[in-house]
Order: sequence, then C-alpha cells, then structure tokens
Amino acid sequence: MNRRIQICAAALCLLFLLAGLARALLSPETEIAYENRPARRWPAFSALAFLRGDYQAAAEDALADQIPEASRMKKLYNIYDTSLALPLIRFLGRDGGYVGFRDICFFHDMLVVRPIPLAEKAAALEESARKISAWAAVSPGTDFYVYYIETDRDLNLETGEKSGLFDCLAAALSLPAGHAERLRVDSFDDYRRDFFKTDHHWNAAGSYRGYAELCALLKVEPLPQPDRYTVPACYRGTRAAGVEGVPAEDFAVNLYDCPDMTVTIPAGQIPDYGMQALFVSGELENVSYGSVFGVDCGELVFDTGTPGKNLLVMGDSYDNAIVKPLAASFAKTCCVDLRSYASELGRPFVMAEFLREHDIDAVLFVGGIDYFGATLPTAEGG
Amino acid sequence: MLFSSLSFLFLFLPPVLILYHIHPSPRWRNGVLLVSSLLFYAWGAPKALPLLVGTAALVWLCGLGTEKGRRFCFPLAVGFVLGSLMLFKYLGFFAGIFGARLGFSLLLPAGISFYSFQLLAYSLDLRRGTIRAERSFFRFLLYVAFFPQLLQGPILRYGKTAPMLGARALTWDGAFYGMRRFLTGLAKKLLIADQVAVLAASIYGSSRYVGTGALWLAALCYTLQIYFDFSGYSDMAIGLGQLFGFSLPENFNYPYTALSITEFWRRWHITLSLWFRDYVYIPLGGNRVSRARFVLNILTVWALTGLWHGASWNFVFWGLYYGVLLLAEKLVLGKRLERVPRLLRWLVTFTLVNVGWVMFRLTDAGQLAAVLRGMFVYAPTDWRALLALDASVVSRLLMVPLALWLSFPVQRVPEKAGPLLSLGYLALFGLCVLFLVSASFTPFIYFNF
Repeated sequence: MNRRIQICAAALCLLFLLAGLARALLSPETEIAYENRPARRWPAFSALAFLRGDYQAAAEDALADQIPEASRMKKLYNIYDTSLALPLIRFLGRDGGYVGFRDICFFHDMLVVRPIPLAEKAAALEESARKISAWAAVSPGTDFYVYYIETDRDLNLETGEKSGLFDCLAAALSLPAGHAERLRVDSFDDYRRDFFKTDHHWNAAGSYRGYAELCALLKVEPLPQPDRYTVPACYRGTRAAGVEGVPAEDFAVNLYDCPDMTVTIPAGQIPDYGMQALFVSGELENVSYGSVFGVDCGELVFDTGTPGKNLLVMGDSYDNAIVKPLAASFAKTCCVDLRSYASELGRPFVMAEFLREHDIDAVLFVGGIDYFGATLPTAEGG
Repeated sequence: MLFSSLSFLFLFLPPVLILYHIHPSPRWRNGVLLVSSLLFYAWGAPKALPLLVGTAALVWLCGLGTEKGRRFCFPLAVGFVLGSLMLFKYLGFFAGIFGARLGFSLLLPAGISFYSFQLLAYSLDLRRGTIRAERSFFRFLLYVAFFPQLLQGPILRYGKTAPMLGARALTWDGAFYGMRRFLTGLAKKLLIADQVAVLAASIYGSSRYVGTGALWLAALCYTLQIYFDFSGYSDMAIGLGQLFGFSLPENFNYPYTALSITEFWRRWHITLSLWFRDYVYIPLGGNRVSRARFVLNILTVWALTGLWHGASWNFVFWGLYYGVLLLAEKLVLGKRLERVPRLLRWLVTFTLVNVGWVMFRLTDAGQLAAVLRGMFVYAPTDWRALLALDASVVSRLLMVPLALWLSFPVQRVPEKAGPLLSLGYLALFGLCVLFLVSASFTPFIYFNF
C-alpha cells in the first residue's frame, strides 16, 4: 500500500513535469490574461543565442508562462504575499507616506511609484529634445508641439517636491515659445484627481484636462464638454496586477460627440478605435484602459473626410484616450507609437518621409517621462 | 543550469530520468548520464565546456602516464589545473595586488573550483598510489562532469566514486529517498534561502534607516540564507545521485548547532574541509610540527580556504578570521572551552559565525567596515522607514524563525515513509513549483565558486 502511494506520488510529479514540457513545446498559450501581456513562447534555436545564453533565458521565461496552471500559481502566491503584507501596509501608511510593496508603493488609497530623480533622466530628456528640435529644424512647413504629462514620477507626493523633468526637457527644446506645455501635477490632490488609483494612466478627468489643454496648445476648437459615464468598482489597473486584495475602482469615460471618421491600422480599416460603446452598453467583459480606449498600435490613422489640417501624434498609450476627440478637429490624424512602429510596419520610422507621405501640418509629441525619457530617445529611425 | 530552475525541472530532469531507466545496461546508463551531464553544463556555460572536457582529458592522460612512471605527467596535470584556475579565477585579483590592470576580462567557468579540486585530488591520489588510474576516458569524464555534483559539489574522491562508475544497484527505496532528499533541498533553496535572501539584500542595499538591530538581522538572514542555499543544493545533489544509483558524500551536518569553531568546520562543507586537510594541511606537516610552524600551517590553509571561495580580499580575511579563531581555540582556550556552559558556547560560536558571514557577504571593504562598526557600535534603526521601503518583506520575515528552527535537528523524517509522508512531499513539490513560477529572485550563492 505504502509503496503504491510512493509510486503514485512520484508518477504524479513526473507527469506534471512532462505535461509542462509538452505544453511549452507543443501547445503553448498565447496570452497571460492575469498579467495582461502576451505569453512568452519557446524560442527558436540558434547557436549564437545559445552561446550567449539568450536561448536558455528565453526558454526559462517560456516555461514560467507555459507550465500548466502558471497563472493560478502566480495568483495564489500573490494572495499569500499580499495578505501577509496588507496589515503592515495599513499600519505603516496610517499617517500617510509611501509604503513600498515590490515595485510599487501604496500612498493613501492609491498605488503609485516613487519620483524619478532628474539626474537619472536628464541625458535622455536632452536627447529627446535634440531629436524633436532637429526634426523641427528640417521641416519648416510643419509646426512641432510638445505636451508633457506629469505623473507621480515627477513629484514627491509626500513633500510636494518636483523632479524638474519637464523643465529639463523644455530648456533643451528649440521650439517657438508656447509650443511646449505640460499637464501640471503639483500636489497629491492634483494627482488623485487626474489619475487612476490602480493604474499609471490618466483617468477621465485627467484625460479631459489634457484634451482641453492640447486644443489650446494646437489652437483648435475643442468639442463641447462631454458627459461622463461611470461604471463603479469595475477596474483594477496594471499597478494592481500582483497586488491581491486591493479593491476595484470606478472607471469613467468622456462621451465626446465625435463626427464620423474612418480608422485605419496597419492591418487595414477597423470599425472603431477602442470599445467605448460596448463599455457604455455594459457588454464589455474585461474592462481595461486598452480595451475601452483602444489598444496600442504602431500606426493609427483617423480620417474625418473633411478639409483641414493634418496632425501627427507621436506618443504612447496616454494618447489612446484623447486621439479620437482630437482627430475631430483635423482632416486627418495619424498616431505613431514608436514602441511598435518598426515591428508592425516592417520599417523604421523616418520623420521626413512620414510628413511628406501624409502631408502633415502639425506634429504633437505627447507623453510622460516613460515616453520622453525612454521611448523617444532610444527609438530607431530618423 | 540550476537545479532550482524550471529548465532543469521540466526540460532536463524528466527526459534524463526516463532515458536512464529505460534500459538496464550500465554502458547505456553511463552514456545517458555523461551526455546529459555535458548538456547540463553546456546549458549554463556553453563557452566553458571545452575547458572542462579538455582539462579532464589532460588529467586523465597524465594519470595514465603517472601510473607508468612518467615523471613529467604529475606536474603537468597539477600545473595545468592550477594554471587554469589561476588564469580564469585569480588573474585579475593577483594583477590588482601588483597594481596592474588587465586589458581584458575572462569568463569565470561555472564550477571550476569544484571540478579542479576533484581533478587535483585524482592526480595527488595517483601520485601517492592510493588509487589506480581510470582506463576509460568516458568513465573518468563522468566522474568529473556528473551533473548532480558538477557545479557546487560535494567534492568527490575518485577512490570512493570509481566503484559506482561501473554497475550500480538501484532500489525503489533508494530512488524514493533520492526524490525526498531532492525535494527537501529544493524546498530549502526556494522556500527559505531565497526568501531570507531578500531581507538581507534589502537591508544591505539601503544605507539609510539602518542601525545596529537591522544589521544583526541582515547578518542572521544571510547566515540562514547561505546555509539553506548551499545545504539545499547538497541535498538536491545527493538526492539526484540516489535517483541514478550514486551515493554522494554528505556535505553538512547541522553546522549551526556547533559549540566551537572547530566543530563548526567539521559540520560545514565537509568535503571541502576534508580536501584541505588531506591535500594541504597534512602535507604541510599538520600539527606534528613546531608551534610556530603549526600557526603558519593553519593560517596558510585558511587563507587558501578563503581564497578558494572567491578572488577578493574579503574572502582572504574571512579565511584568516577562521584561522585565527581556530588557533585561539587550539592554543589558548584548549580544554577550558569545555567548562563553559553549552548555551554560552553555542551563542558565542553562532555569533562568530554570523560575523564571519558578514565578511563573506560584503566584498566592498568600505561597506564591510561600516557594517561591522554598525553591528558593534549601537545606532538606532528606523524600522518604520525601513519596512516602508518594501512591505513585501513581511512574508520573508516569517521565514527567519522557521529557518532557525530547521537549522537544528528537531525533526527526523522516519526512514520508513508512511503514506502521509508521500503526500506531504507531493505538496512540498507543488509549493516549490508555485514559488519557482512566481518568484524571480533565485541566485545560488555558490554558483560561481
């Protein structure tokens, strides 16, 4: 009897290990819903990658995603880890102040990150400014604008001290006066009003403020102030991933009265960008910033079919929430996300070619420190 | 490849176990073990594989020559092994001592300290005539590269391993014991060592808020980390050996129960201590020499022991620290030590070992000096601010008392495992996989030695 149980236990272990290997090699998952990202898959073998150790690292990553019940295991671990930490977090955070938990911090009722020191990003910001200024210098018929979104990375929420990241960027830009602006976040109250509690993106209030300020920057008439539609306690953003026990928050959208327009992505024309209508009708099952406002896309073109100026928006996921109403004020609005442009389009982004091809009148760079401090300065192309 | 990696558990181990047991022929089984051992090594250190195989080939050839009385063979083998160890591990360190800077950097081949010592032991034993030279290169390569012990020991002696390189008896009880031992080691590594490691790293990584209390906590965490990490690895190695019919030597025997430093080193990394005893200390004359020579012998052995652990001054000081403590025990305290109450002896020994691990952990001399000062000159710790840096340490803090408890022989798993025990190990396996999938912080401290 005892021997049989031993054999069964050993066989179960072996079967589980073999099942994990078979799954990773033969029938891999494509997406990890729990972590809101594509699943890492078994890498293609190359001798060079093997010698460098890249193949082995990629195989380890693939197994971590592909073994049976990996997501459940991660969730279980996070429940264990968070449930032990939450009482301490509440105790330490009772007087306010940052309380770290892995890579994020609890600050009052929000999940935030600590501010980035200027020294860490100054060189990257100056490189971004150099690129933008150089493009503007060789494109005399096109106006260039910068809209910098300040977030919790620009401000110490405890002391109110700012890192000066925008000032550094603005000082290094060679653009006409008034062509560089920012979404100002000067206090925790500003931040709490304009950003999600569990996500790094701006909420409906913040994105509307951004939209209105952008219209002023670009000197276009904004759409009438929209109604706001809110679904209570339906959303847990990316900062809550892995932090079990944090309650879901409200998710609101601004109901802009946008004119009809065609929307084109590299794969072809699509009916709409984002699933705001489904969200409002209550039919959207998985509420996320990307699913509601539109997923990140290397190139996106809105065409209102009306005469007017053409706009190029260079940014990242922050602009997903505002490009559609913004496009209402232009004949054609192109959006380029440098993080995926080259891989989706099969060629690097070249500003001069793009401006010529789409007859662009104005270029708007919009984003926060992740964009101006990482994406833009390191992007390939010219 | 680390034993506590998903690649090892899912990609490597199941096919090797199946292929090994599919055919009873010793030749087939040795073939499977040799090929898998080389693949195992190549997976983690592909560029270092030619050095491993080449060194083994040279030592094997020289071994045959030594047995035939060719005088140049022994110095050639020893010179080559020590030379490659010196080149890959110590060149930069010694160049630095003489104020030179290398214009290049060499990759430290994984496990070089371990397999070099096995090869040296083989050459020295042949020279002494205590073993016969291995005729088959493939069996010799298997002795050197056998994957359970290749990267972090235990350091094998050829004389004891040779009989197992032929036919091996494999029983179900032995295999099940191997499985249990492997899982015990895996759990030690993943559930304890990696957890307390986060605490130690977090305290040593933050200079602000840290006072005497936090520094002692960090020292304790690292003390527990290194024991559960390294003894966990040894358990896994011994367990894997059992799964393939090998009986590998024990490397640890509850070292933190030691009542003196001498006893600690009889219980810690036993195969390394025995290696230095047999191949350095005794050839230097051991204790049958003058008092001055004895002191010199001890300090030489312990400076070398320190240097074996890493090419850095802190390791040398760590080795000499133990040399001095052992001399103090042997020459000053002597039998008087036994009259001290056991609890006090344990406390003093454990504290001294903790301090030793701090010297081992901190390679930066400035930080080491500051930490040692901080441990002995009181400064308050801002616990609130320290914990607020990362509250996820709380789950790790819970592991500290558990790890301390498990450092003592408080639980004995019965040899005759009941059904509940099997289910317990099954649950432990699930828990290990859960932690492995979920956590990413999993360095093996002894990997680079």
